[in-house]
Amino acid sequence: MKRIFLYIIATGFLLAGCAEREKVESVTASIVIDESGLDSEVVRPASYEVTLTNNLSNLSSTVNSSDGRASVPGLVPGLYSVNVKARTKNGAFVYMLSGSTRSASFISDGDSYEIPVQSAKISSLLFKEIYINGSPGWYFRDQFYEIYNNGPETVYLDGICFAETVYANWDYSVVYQWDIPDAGKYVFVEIVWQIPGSGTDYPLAPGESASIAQWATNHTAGSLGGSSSIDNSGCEFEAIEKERTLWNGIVINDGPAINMRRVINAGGYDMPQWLISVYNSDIIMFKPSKPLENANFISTLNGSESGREVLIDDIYDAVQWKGNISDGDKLHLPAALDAGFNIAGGGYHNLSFARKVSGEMEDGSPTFQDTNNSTNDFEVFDKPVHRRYNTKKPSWNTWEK
Amino acid sequence: MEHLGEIIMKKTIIAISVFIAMSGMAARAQEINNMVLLEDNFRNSLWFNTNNSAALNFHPLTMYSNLGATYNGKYGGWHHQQEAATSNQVSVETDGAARVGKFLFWGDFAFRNIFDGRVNYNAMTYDVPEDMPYFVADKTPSRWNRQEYDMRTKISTPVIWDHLTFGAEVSYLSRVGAKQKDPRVETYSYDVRILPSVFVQVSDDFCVGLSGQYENAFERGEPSNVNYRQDQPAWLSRGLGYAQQTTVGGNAGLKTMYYETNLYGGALQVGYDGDYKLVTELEYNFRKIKAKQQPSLPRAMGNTESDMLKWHLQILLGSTLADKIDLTWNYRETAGLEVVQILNQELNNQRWEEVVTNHMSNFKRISWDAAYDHQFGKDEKGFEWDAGAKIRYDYENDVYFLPFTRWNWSSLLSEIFIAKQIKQHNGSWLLKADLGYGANIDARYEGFDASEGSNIQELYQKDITYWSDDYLKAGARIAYTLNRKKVNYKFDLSALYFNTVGDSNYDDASILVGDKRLLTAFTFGIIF
Repeated sequence: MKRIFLYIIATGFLLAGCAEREKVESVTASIVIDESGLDSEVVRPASYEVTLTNNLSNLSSTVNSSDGRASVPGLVPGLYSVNVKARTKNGAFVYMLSGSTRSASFISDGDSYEIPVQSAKISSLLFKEIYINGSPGWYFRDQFYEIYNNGPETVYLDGICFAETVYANWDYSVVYQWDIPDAGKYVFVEIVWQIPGSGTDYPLAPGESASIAQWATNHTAGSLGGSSSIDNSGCEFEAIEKERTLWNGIVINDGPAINMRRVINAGGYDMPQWLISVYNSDIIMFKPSKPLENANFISTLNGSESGREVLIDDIYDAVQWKGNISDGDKLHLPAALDAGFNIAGGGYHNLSFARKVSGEMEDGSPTFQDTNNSTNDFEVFDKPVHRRYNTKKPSWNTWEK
Repeated sequence: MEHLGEIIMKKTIIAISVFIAMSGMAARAQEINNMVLLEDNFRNSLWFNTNNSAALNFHPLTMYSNLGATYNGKYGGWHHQQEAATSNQVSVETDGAARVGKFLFWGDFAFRNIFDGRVNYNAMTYDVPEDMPYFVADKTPSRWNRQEYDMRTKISTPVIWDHLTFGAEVSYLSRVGAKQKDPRVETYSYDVRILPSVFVQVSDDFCVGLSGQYENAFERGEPSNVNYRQDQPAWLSRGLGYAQQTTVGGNAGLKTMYYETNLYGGALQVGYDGDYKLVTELEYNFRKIKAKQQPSLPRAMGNTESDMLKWHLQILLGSTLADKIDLTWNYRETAGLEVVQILNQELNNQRWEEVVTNHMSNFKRISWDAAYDHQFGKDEKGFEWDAGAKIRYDYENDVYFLPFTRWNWSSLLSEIFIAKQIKQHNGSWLLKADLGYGANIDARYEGFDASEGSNIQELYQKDITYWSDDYLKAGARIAYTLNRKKVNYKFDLSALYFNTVGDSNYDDASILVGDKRLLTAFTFGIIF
């Protein structure tokens, strides 16, 4: 009987031994930077900053490239976001060179990924502060977007448009496919608000900022957002077309701010407000290269949405935000527009995204960081502030106190 | 909504359980008329304590029927983080063994209603298995309300050719749980196990058995917030503190999560019934659990694969079977497999596709138990005294490979007990006392890389202080059985007290982290 027991135990160990699995081993990724798409006038940098972020763990590794290549060791096999960036100067122009992807696969040691870089003159007009989070008590009418002239020349705001993109259904189980050729050249929107003007009505000099409010009034009034909200009565523009009375008796009055025009309304809504999701969305700023048509909308192939296409090349700036860091796989904007995202956490906590200061203009006005990556470019503050860092107001704003 | 198969299975097993209980009642077996005899019935039925039900017709239990209602309470702050700080449980349970024709049946059924208080780091599952790295944690201690239906039956066929029997054990566990504080969850689960078996009486004193095992379990958790305007943070654990932060609520928040479990295995049994009785069993099982979310667009959280090996030896010595030796050795190794997926956005065919599966973690458990007891003055009514000792060794070695992080724990628990039965004309008292000492041998949680932004390492940091304690345990039990013509009434009261030994860093004022624990139980019922 003793022998039988020995056989049994030996068989058991054999079975357990058969199930041996190979444990994970770290891999080294090889990044090749493709500069073939750069214009000839762009000066090639000596080195790029290369950052790989694991899509599952969000653990990042950053190295500098040499001779157009970078080697990143110690990675867990998987999918990575790759961001490559450098800044160069040619005469008076500063260029941002960047390339990115959200799903580079590094499974085996030495796996290589070639990433094309593109150049862009650093845009003068950018979002400087974005306050979409709302105030305690689920108050959302105090949202505003402050834009800033970060360049050396005056720009005109006439005709500039703002919109939130339409990307997926409510629970992200359907990512929309749009019925349009070369869909990759566009983002898609449902509502567009546009600054009016003849072309030179609203100049913005270097170092000046202007704010676009959902409703440019003092929201600290007790009947509105209360003391935790903010006074938006000095904002330059508001998303109001006419005075409205809400179901609860609040009158959305038309103040001194310039009324914008809702030039696209693909859903046909007649809402009294322009509400953008307080913790899970994006905003783009663009100037259409052809007139926007508020009809003949395009549709989704896998849903019932209608919308208007916006050429990515027309977009000046775009910023997105998500509830959590783990939502990085549900980003709305192409990486070329925003390779990162802000983290809004829960809604209605007065959180505000403000762009980081990168330097100073000759007159002492700040310049702000713009790498087309919101994760790097923005900070999250507990409270929104108009003209944070003492940026200047435009001369035509005569109503701000 | 319950799955149709689940409903049929539940009703079938309820029917079998009730049938067995009724059969036992009809037989009115009076051989077992007190709790000592009831417990001895299982102590002495060595084959009952194996996976082989077929053997029961050759080595039967004494027929009996038992019905009771029990209250269980848990109090005190000395517990691991994911265990309730307080727990109140009311249960009704019945079990019995009966012959129906030449078949032998045994069955039990229990319904439990459990009210747990201050459960920590569990936002999604009824109970987080210790070797499951893929769970959802939150940092808001919460009440949980739970209900369980737990059924099991063993069947042994008539003897064929004087040497052969077949058998089967079927069990079904259905559980419903609801977390009572945002982020909330309602979780539904079932667990079905089937163990077919065959038994051969080779000679008068030598026998062998073979059993198979299949288990299928499913759990589905639906997260929600009562305050739907306030999203709640939660963490998708990947093991040993590494986690991704997410939210419950909002469009991009956590979706329905589900766990699919399949287990396959088998066991070989060998028995000897001569001058002494011996049964030994060697069991191997392979278990795979898949953790996923969002049924409409399934996305893997991770899988675990476990190899489980168990050896069990029972020996009864003496003409009255007064001495029992019980040895158990358990080995389990669980691999944590992280699935890297990418969303295929092909029109009308969007799905998460696997890119690579990494074996990121390993959880090893080894334990052995050695128990001995001797019953003095044994007769048909029970014993005069029963005294015994037990030693248990536990070893845990959990590793997360990248970044390399380790959880190491081992402990030795030594226990002694003494029990006295006082037999009366129409009743029987059982008085029992036990004492134990748990000595921690090793407890380490090391190598955690805090540079990973989002994590729940504090769960492990707090738990290691608990697991590293030496402790004393002391228990007392008083039970009485009152014999009447047709039924025997039983009353059973017990308490078990734990107290840590030596220095501790606990805040005595905290109900979540303390150095004492009290477990109590009271049962009233009938044996008939």
